[in-house]
Formats: sequence, structure tokens, C-alpha cells
Amino acid sequence: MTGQTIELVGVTKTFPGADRPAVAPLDLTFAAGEITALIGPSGCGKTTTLRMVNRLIEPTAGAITIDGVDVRDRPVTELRRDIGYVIQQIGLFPHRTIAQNIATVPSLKGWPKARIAERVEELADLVGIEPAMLTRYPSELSGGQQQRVGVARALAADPPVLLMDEPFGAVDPIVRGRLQQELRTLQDRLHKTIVLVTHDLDEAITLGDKVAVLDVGGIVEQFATPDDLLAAPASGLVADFLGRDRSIRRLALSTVADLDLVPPDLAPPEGDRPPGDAVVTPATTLREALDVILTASTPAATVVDDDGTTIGTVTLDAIREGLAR
Amino acid sequence: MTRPGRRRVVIGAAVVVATGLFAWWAKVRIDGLSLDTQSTSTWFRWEYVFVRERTPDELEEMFRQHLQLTVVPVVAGIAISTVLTAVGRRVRWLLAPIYGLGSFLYAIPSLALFGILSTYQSNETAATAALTSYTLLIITRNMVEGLDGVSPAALDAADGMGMSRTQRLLRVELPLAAPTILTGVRVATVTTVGLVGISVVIQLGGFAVLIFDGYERQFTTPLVLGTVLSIALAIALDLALRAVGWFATPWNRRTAGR
Repeated sequence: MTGQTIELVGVTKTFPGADRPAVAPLDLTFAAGEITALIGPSGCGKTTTLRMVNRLIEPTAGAITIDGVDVRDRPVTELRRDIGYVIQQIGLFPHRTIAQNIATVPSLKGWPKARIAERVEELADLVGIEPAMLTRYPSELSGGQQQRVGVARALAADPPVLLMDEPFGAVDPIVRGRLQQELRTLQDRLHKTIVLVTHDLDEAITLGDKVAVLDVGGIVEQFATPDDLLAAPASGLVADFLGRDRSIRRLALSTVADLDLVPPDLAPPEGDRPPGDAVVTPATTLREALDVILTASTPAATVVDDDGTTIGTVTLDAIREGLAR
Repeated sequence: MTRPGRRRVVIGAAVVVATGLFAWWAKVRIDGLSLDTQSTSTWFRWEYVFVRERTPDELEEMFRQHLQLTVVPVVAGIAISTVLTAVGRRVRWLLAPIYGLGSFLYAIPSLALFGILSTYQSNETAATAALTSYTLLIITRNMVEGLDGVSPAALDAADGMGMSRTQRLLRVELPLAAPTILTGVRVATVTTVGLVGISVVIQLGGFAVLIFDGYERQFTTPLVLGTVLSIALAIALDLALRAVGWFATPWNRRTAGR
């Protein structure tokens, strides 16, 4: 099932005994079929906000609706079975096999055995788990494999909405990068509404269609696309949070194909021609293109398409103009 | 050596030893019946065990009594501990008094407890009640620790995926706490097998009747026999419970390949 819109209206959470709210009155819309990343310093209420959507935490005030239906209007177990849930600690059940773990929600929903078995195989294939692993126990898998299973388990009953709380925080950077890429690819096929809590700015801007930067107390500092966020931080706090290399980070969001290339016939005179090793493709991100140019110590890099034909050059000026757009 | 490997060796060795002992026992018994028994040593007279026709029946009766005085208190202990655990985990501050009561009961000399209870109840009821009280501390403590030890991430996942409280308890918490709970039950069982002997003071005692008899008459054969049988029963029950644990928790045997 493809994504449904989640709306938070005036959602507040004050924990018992706390003198100020963990989440201030919060209005946010997580658009259907998009990944929204919630990011901010610790104590900003991002996890609290996420957990209020599936009622693991009940709001003090305000309303949350999914596809127009108030989450409090449905029995809580039924609501949660229609919301995928992935957490940093993965939380696979150590006493159940991988297949049984993936089948958790379908079996709670009382699906017939044959349908569950079929769905488990389908999901294993989808997230890249070998069928041989299905009969193993979680402790026999690596961290990355376990988190793949965690994602498969969340997707098992095909929920329209997925909540992910630092899903890749516990795996090493290389595996994390690969899992992020896979999630993006998966999302391009499935179009779920995904709410992703992270403290990793790179993760937020690579995965998020939208990024919400929260400040302590659950105050939305900025809610924008990653590009807009990096191009125009709404406040000093956001700018600080994004860091001094935000333009460099922004370069990673565009590719060479997004630029107006200098055509080959208008290429700079012979002496200024980039040497052979400064070569990029249209799919190269501007960040990588910049790196190629700086590494080769030349003013420009040659752009070559898949057939190996030169289609133009990209210069430092072109990259700078790309940022200005 | 890995843990599952060692366990397999222990169980295998136990089976071999038990089979050997049984074969020996059967052979000796048959030899005893052939009346060639006068040559046995004074330290242990096999004819005491087998030649007198009544003795095997007596042994069977003692075995039945010993087993009953072990199993009934342990089962009752599990039932009461389940209630105490449920209460203590809901109302945390009650845990200290519950453990306190358990320790207090444990501290009462068993001789005194048997004596006092038997003045109010039949001997059997008195012994069962006393022995039950000794199992409470260890079983309750292991139940609470086992359930508290379930990983918070697994619980969060269980809640987040829409399990009800009962489903979470039955499908996640109890299976994961099972090894710890079973350890408590095993220790309680082995302890009870030993404690049953003291009920000899109120005309019960299972195999300890033999020990007491041997002690009174300064006759080593029944003393040794009662001791060996009591220990054998404790080991057999322990192994049986280990086997239950081994079959009930397959995920614990499969981490070696990591």
C-alpha cells in the first residue's frame, strides 16, 4: 500500500514531572509517499514525536491523523499493525527465526500460513536476505543483515506508513551507506510515507524528501527540502547545526547533468584542456566533480556519457553557478 | 569448547553412565537372586537390597514418596512464585518484602518447620508446605530476573508492532525469560530432593528412611544406599529439566557459528 498523509495538529507532550514540554505545540505534515527526516540536537523531541504517531507515547494535547483518521479512533494494537516500525537497536526477537521475525505482524493479523510464507520470501528477496538465512536466528546474522531483516519485518504487512528511529545508527559507516542507498531504491518503488528520525545530517539530506530541523522542546526551526535547507538556513541555529560545510554538502544533492555544460566545440583552448584523468559522467554529483577537479589540479573536468563520447566540460565556475541556482 | 558442545558431552556422558549403572544393577540383582550373596563385603551387603523379598517394593514406595515430596512442592512453588512475580513486577516496591519473606522462610531451620507444621496438619501436608516455602525465594527471584532481563529493544519492537500485553508476555517475554526461570526451577528441585530427607523426623523422608535406619543401627548398607539413591534422584531430575530447557530453547544452541 502506498503512503498516506500524516498530520500533526497542535501536538504537545509534557512528561509527568517535567516543568516544560518535551514537544511544544507542533504542527507538521508528513506528505504521502515522501520521506521526512526529523533532525535536531538531543532533547529536541524528535523520537518523542515519532513515537506519538503510533501511540507508544500519548500526546498531552493535540491530534494526529493518518489519512484523515485520528490515531486515537482506532484500537491501539490494530493501529500499530498498520504502521511499520524500525528502531536503532533493531529489536529482532532472538528466540524466533528470521522468517518468524519477518512474519510477526502478518501472524498477528491472522494471515493464513501459506500467504505468510509467500510474503516472507517476497520480502527476503526485496531487502536482500538470502533464503538460506530465513531459518537462522538473529544472533547468527551480522548487524547489517539484522537491520535488513528489521526493515523487512516493518514492511511485512505492507503498511502505508513507516516510522524509523535512527534505523542505521548501529551499523558501521560502510554498511550504513549501503543500507541508506537500498532504502532510497526501495522507497522509489514502494512510495511509503516514511518518518525518519536521525541525528546524522548526511542521512537526513540523502534520504529525506523533506527535512524538519527541531530545536530543544520540539520547536520546528525549519521544514524544507534538503536543498532549500542547505541553501537558505532559516535561523542561526539551523546554520550552526548544518555546519560550515553546508555548501559542500549541498553539492552532493545535484549532479553534473543538472548543469549547463560547456559544449565540446566551445571548449577552452588546447592549453587549458583538462588532462585525461579529470573525467566525470552526467550522473556524478557536483561534490564528486569538485573533488575530481581539485585532485587533478585542473580548471575543468571532461564530461563523458555512457558510450564514452565527450559531451562537454564542467568548470569550477559552472559548479559555483550550479549552487547559486 | 563452546557451550552447546560441552552440554552435549555432559548429557551424552550421563546417558552412558546411567545405562552402565542400570546394567550393573540388573546383573547384581540377578546374581543376588541366585543366593550367591554371602561373599559380599560387610561395608555394603547387596543381599540387603535384593534378597529380602519385600525390599524392592519398599524401595519403590520410598522412591514414590521422595519423588512426590519433591515434585509437588516444586510445582506448588512455581504456581505461588508466578503470582508473587506478577504482583512484584506490577508493584515494584513490593519486591523487597516478597524477597524478604522468601529469605525469612528460607532461614527457618527445616527441622523446626516440619515439627511445628506437623502439629497442625497431617505429616504429608506439613512436609509439602514446608518444602514449598523453601522453593519460593529462588524461583520468584529467577522469574523476576528473567523477565527483567528481556532486552528493552525486543519489548519496544513488540509494542510497536501491535502486540497486546498478553501476546507480548506469551510470545516474547516468557520464552526469553525461560532459561533463567528454568535455572531457578532446577536449583529449587535439587535443593528439595535433599531437604525431603529431613522429613524423616515426621515419619516421611523417602530414601532418607534408609539413611536414618542405617544411622540408628550403625549399619552402613542402608545408609549408603539411601544416600546414593537420593543423589541419583537429584541428578536425574536435574538432567531431565536440562533436557527440557535444551529442547525448549533452540535459539540458545545456535549461536556457536558466529
